[in-house]
Amino acid sequence: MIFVDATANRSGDDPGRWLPIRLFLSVRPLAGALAGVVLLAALAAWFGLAEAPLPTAVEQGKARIPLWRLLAMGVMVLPVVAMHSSLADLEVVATRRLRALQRSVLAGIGTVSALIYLGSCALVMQGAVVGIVARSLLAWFGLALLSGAVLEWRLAWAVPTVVAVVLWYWGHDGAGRYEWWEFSARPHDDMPSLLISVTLFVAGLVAFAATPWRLRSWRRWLPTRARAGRGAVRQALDRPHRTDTTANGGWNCQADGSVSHPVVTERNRSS
Amino acid sequence: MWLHLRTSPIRWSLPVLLAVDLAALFLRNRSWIGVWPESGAAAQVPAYLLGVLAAGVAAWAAGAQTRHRLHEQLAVARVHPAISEAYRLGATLILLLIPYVIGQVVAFAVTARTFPPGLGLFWGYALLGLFVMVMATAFGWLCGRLLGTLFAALAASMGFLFLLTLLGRVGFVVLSGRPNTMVDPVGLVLRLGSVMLLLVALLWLPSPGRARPARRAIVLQVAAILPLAMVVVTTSPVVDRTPPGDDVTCVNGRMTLCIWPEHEKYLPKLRSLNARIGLLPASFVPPPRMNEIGIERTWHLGPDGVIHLDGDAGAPIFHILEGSPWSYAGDVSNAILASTFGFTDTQYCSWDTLTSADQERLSVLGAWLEAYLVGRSTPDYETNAPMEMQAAWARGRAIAGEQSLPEQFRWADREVGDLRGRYCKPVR
Repeated sequence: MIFVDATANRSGDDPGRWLPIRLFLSVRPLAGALAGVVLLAALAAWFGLAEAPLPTAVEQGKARIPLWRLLAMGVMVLPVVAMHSSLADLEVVATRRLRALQRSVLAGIGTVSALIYLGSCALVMQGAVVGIVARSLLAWFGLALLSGAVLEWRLAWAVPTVVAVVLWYWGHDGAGRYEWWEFSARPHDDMPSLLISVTLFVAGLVAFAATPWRLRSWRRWLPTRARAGRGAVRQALDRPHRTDTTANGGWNCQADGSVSHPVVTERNRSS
Repeated sequence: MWLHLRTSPIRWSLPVLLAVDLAALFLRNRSWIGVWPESGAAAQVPAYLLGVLAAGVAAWAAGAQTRHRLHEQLAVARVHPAISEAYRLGATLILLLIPYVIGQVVAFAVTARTFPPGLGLFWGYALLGLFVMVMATAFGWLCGRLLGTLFAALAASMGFLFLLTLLGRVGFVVLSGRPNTMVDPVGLVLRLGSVMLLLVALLWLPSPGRARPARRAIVLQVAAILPLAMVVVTTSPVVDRTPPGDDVTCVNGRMTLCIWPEHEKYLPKLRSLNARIGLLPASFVPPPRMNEIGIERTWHLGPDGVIHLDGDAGAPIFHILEGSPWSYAGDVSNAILASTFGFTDTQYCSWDTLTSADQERLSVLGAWLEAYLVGRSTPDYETNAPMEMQAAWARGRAIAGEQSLPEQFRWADREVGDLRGRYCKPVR
């Protein structure tokens, strides 16, 4: 963010240190997100133990899903949605400084949201249940990050909502217990749930870290064939002069049989 | 309209919604295949799941013009804002209904292969699910218009879930279409009508992020939501059907078992059940007739002047739940034991003095009879009955599973004679 540097020099030393983060926050609806988290936390304390009668695949009658499980998803999606900025079009070209701010703010507000929700749950629930909530918060945060980073920050709700619907409908095994992959409901000391939650969290972090320049360097580790297949067009566009334009009239055949067409030769042919 | 359909942001979500719908239809108990009302209800169940997603997607679509900064262009357009809004809302609604309708069509096609009677009941459930989808879309659109572009989608999804939770207490969620119930036509028309009213009122909401909605528009929304809320809270989606009278399908034999014509796919199973009843020793006295629930209803005037449904009068009833043979075998075996031992016969029998050891023997006998009628020894249900009772049931099922049929009958005959002889006078 260039404007951050320009204004930071003008102000004094001490306030200047905080200016980037203030500017970062000023275009993001963090206050709204925190207000939403507080609202959800209040709902959890108030209705958290009420049960939603949702249809399920196995049980005759309705599954009784306590509301705190439904609310936990929203609590972790909100901070990620708040990463959207009204200057998103400009931030497309931003690099490390913005990412560093994003990273620290996301970590901060995510932790604060989780603590607010856990605190409010601790008021009305037993310790073991709060443990389940904490574990599922980890997984929901990972899913929200994944969704937000891959689709768009404003669409961070999409993947968690679909996953939640799948869990609620198919999560029961018919004998009053939950399937091993239902990470939001099994007992607090359950190992598969913990592993899944951590995996989802890590997947979210990886999706967040996968910036264009990192993807470029990661791609170097792929086997040669896959690289040629995936990046063939882009490589041809990046280096139009090095493509072999004489061998077959400008059509550039790659080693794996895919065909790419350099822009430069197209212009030459049509003129 | 075609332009709106083609450019709506929702089209990317359609594969996901369709996959969820079809998975929710087939990756579950498939006893609904071959019974019309059950098919309609089974294809209606995904509407609650899709509704949660559809509310979010509709809210996202409602904010599309704000996200793309089209305010100026739309503001100077010659058409009335409500009309261009109608196109956008209409396209959203049509796209969101596509996965649901495909699910219903698939359910229809699967059951149409055998084409049992009772097709009329199917449409009621199909329209009920349609109402849920339309309501979710309207709810999502409302959120999208009132809450801005950012948090609206999440708020709509969670809000619709919350709404389901609240409405679940007034019987909003319908999960199965038993033949003894049907969708209330009056309630359905009221529901569809009031939700259409809300859709029309939504057209006058300004797009989010610009001016605050005028007070008149808010009043209009509240005026449109109120009838919907009233209808949903006060009417029940399903009602009991009137008894069919003589229009029932019956299986004759040692005992007459009568079912709703819609359940004709269970006739072969009931015939084999009746054949097994016919093999029972003569000491068992089955009741002359049993009905599926809802076929006969007897009313009696209570002491408080209110007419009650009398469950004990008339022939004993059985249920067919999710196609499980254990559901009706349990009811039938209870009825056979009741008439064999005369549990309600206070003139000749005195079951008040039943000892706990004999109670246990009765439990063993009941579990044996149930398992014998099903023809298997592992039940498909779970129970939270007391442990000693469960142990007795397990012994009864073990007898049905391990011994040969003549051995089983000799044992059962002895048990019936012994227990009856101890508690009843030998009059009959």
